Amino acid sequence: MKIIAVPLEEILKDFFFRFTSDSESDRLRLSIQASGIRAPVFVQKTQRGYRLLSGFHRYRIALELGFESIPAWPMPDEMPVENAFHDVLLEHMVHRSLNLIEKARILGILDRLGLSWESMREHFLPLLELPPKTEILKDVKDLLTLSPDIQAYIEKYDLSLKQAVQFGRFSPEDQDFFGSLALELDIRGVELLSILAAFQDIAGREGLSVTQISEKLGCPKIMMDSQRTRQQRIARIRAELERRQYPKLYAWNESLENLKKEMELPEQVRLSWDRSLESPGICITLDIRSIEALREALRHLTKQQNQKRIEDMLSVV
Amino acid sequence: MSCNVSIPIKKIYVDGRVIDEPLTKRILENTPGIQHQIIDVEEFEEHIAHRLTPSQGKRILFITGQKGDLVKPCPGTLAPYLCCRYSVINQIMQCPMDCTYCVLQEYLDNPVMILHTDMDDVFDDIDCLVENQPGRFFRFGTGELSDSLVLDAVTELTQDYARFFSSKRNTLIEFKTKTSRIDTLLNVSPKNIVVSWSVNPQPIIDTDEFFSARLDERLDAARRCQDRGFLLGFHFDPILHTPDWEALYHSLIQQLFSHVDGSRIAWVSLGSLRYPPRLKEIALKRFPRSRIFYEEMIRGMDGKMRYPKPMRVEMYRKIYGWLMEKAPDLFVYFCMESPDVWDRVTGTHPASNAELDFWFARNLYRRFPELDMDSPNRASYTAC
Repeated sequence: MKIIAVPLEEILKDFFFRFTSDSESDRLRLSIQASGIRAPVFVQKTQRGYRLLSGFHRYRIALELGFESIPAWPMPDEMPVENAFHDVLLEHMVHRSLNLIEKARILGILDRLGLSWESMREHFLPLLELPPKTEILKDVKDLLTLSPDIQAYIEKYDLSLKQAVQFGRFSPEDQDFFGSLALELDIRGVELLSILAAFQDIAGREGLSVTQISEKLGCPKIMMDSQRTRQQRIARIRAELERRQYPKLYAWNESLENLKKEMELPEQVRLSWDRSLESPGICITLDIRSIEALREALRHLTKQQNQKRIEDMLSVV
Repeated sequence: MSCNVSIPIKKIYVDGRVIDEPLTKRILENTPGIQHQIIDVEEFEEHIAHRLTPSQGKRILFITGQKGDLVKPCPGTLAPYLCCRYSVINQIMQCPMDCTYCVLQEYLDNPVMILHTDMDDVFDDIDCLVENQPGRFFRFGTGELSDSLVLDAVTELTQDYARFFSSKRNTLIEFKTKTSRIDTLLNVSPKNIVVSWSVNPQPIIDTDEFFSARLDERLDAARRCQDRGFLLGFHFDPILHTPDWEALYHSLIQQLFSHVDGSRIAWVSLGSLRYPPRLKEIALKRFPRSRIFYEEMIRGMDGKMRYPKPMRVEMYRKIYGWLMEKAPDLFVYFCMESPDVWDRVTGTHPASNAELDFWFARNLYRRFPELDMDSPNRASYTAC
């Protein structure tokens, strides 16, 4: 195979094989401006002209910069296009790993080419560094049905497939909400997924959509609250969610907090418990620096009213 | 959707190495209308089993062999939760019924029903276990990784087990089921056999226990087994916290005692919904309409998700109280619960798993002289 110079006007403009994202365009433009196109694009000749198989950013920048031609590796004309695309991907993977959405776009292209699921699974999934399983194929392809914001989020934070598929459970409207929440507050993958799980539990239990729950919890207002930092806004949303997700647990803990407050313990006495209420009992920690302090602590703890309060606490925990 | 009318198998694969085993021949004779194919284990694993969805796998039976390791202590769960030192016989793995909460969805990585033909090995393992721990009464069960009766019209395994256990001392076998398929049992000696049912209120069966028998069918079957002389067991497991759980479980207990005599119930277990965290995602993908995973759940001290303790205690207290009202002498135990929960519900707790095992033996000895077991001695239990 020999590099050729393909006139830009002879390149088909259907961009059928485009699968990469725009993230590195600016750097590429600077590089091309300075040194020209050093890495040839891949093309295959058709009756109507050259079809671009990779190098869409380079092609677009070349057009914008007024180039007349572009260096290209021509794939053999007689080679089935899916095989040519396979070889191009192989070359691509040597230089850069693909994110999940790019992989999903590739499977979408193969689907439109009419390739069988079996062929995609056996020949393309290993190439894309994915296990050759039908379920994986389906999950990755389905990512293209997610809302554009969510797809952008998956790319930005390079989510794993296991994380990304979680969004598929929600309606397009709910996905839009998560997309704007995540991008607005710059919430990272693991944290967003725990927020998602909380919304899912509440939605499942209350029979409401995520958007309805977010309204009820005042999430849009919290998101836009410029008086608070990004972290504070996330913490506030999480607290609201927790209260709604665990109403009973929240109420029990609140009643324990109230009893603790009523005891008016001196600061050298600390009282704590497992907030999941699973470990039995309460933990009393004494920070004693003098006999007087010990007497004072014991006097408070053994007051009749406080003994009753401790008994009440133990009936819960 | 009830599976009581037909055999829920679409195809049988037979490992070529066990084609001449008596159990294989019996199964093939009992399934004349079902296609079967002889296959190599590796080929089956690679080209059949792992390409099936869980639902497809539940309709495929693979008959194979495995030397030893089919009889094991019940895996139970980690301390501080208490377990009863039950012994499981994993001759069949997977179940054709489809319960939303079933832990096998997460626990077994093969979706196909696998049956091991090595009866002699199973019996040798049981003998070995019993002989090595004299003075202990053993409870075995086949209903841990499958349902004990759902395939019995095809396998007739209960007949083999009944023959084996009827001649043994200090052991019994429990056939645990959600079906009403007891026909094969009606011809065998009931000696040293407990037939038990997992029970839930009918509305829960409708939404979360697909292809299982209706509650009234299960209770009718229990009554027939009782009339035939079998001891009975009931497992309220998993108890589900639904908005109307109180009315549902109260009515279930009334219904149960209108069918069977409490004095013939060997044991009743109580266990609320619990599952490894990974199960939720798997189950919701398969059963998106199920609501049970959306309840308030905390991560327990064994890593499993459970209802918060006060919720569990409230449910157990009610259910335990209703059971005691109906049959004050009933032996009720908790499956995988903490000593604290035992205390809050019953006022006491076994000091250890061995102690709970001893409580079983002591109760069975006192209430069922027909078991002809040795008088249990606590030291024999706590020593091993």
